[in-house]
Amino acid sequence: MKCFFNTASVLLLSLVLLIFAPQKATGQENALWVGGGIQASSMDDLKYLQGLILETYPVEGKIVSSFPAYTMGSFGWINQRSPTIRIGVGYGFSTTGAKSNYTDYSGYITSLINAVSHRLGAFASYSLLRGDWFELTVIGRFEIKYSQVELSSNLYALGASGLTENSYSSWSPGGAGGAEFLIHLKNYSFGLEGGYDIDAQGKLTKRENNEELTDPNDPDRVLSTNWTGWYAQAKFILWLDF
Amino acid sequence: MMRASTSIFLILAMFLAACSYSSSEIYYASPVPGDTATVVLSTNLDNIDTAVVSDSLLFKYRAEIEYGELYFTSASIGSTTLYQHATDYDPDTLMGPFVLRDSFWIWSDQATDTGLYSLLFTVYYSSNTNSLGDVLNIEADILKLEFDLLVEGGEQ
Repeated sequence: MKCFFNTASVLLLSLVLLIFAPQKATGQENALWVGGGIQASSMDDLKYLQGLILETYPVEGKIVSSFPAYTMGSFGWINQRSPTIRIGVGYGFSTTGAKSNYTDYSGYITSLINAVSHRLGAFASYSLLRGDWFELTVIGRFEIKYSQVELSSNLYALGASGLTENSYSSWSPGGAGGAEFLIHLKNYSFGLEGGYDIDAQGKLTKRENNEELTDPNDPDRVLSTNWTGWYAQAKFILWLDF
Repeated sequence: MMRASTSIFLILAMFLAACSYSSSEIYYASPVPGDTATVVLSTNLDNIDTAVVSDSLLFKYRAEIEYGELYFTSASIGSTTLYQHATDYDPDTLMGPFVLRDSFWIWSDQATDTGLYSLLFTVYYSSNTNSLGDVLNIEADILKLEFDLLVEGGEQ
């Protein structure tokens, strides 16, 4: 995983803060949050495309990775509207990808699909259960996703080489529902959020000329991104003094 | 404590955005070789111990290959290339072995001086290893024949 900070790092830092925090966060109405975790995505069309790309190999390659649950992250602003209701806006991203490969003593072919979604959205949460130090809430989110998909195939054999690269993008609305468990400290809180993300699927177009990415076996069908899937993230919330 | 929290928050926000998908997994294949190609090469110098080039000499050859593809033939003395021939045919359309007959002239002034030289004749053909290089026709087995040439009228 090419990532400087992962979920374990976020949890570790949060734990350090917990040890040094003597009091809980109360009476503050605005906060910033940052979160990191993993998200699964169905990516049906891109899995299909990965299979088609593999069929073009002159040798028998294999899919070594196909859109696994991968990194997500988010940050944004929270406003406490009432003791039980919060709203907010934020930015989020998630990444995944796929790799096919053939390697032998004479060379290799590697095909990569790298997908990133950038999301802007708003959320609302409702507190179901609240104690002195903890809180359990349900959370709902609406967001607009901008996805970037990079396709590349790289061949090297006995000194000969070739590289093809293509870049696509898509727009899609989506929503998510889930639950979060928070522990409140002096000026900050940390918690865990899990849920399910539903993506309306965005049609892929080539970034350089807006040409649609169609199914080679059905030219009338445009291939789409699909980020639908579960997610889980650790969150750190910093309560502000206003 | 507030400043430390803010700093950690900002660092996390910055670095989380730097995550991207990568995978180091590969599929390492062990290709199973096909039938070994058989190459039969005969020339007009096969039965001559030392061929003499007084002015010029015609070199004739016949290369026959079965269970493989003939890519390229070349001849050289020292660092001087005398002849090159790339084949262009579809081996899948052949019912039997592929036969290449060709010839070229060796001129005495192609040598740097008079004296004894070694003529190197090389045949490049498919390795049939079924590796990526073989499938792309850029991996070859090599058959080399050497002939003694006595050049009597080279560049002086």
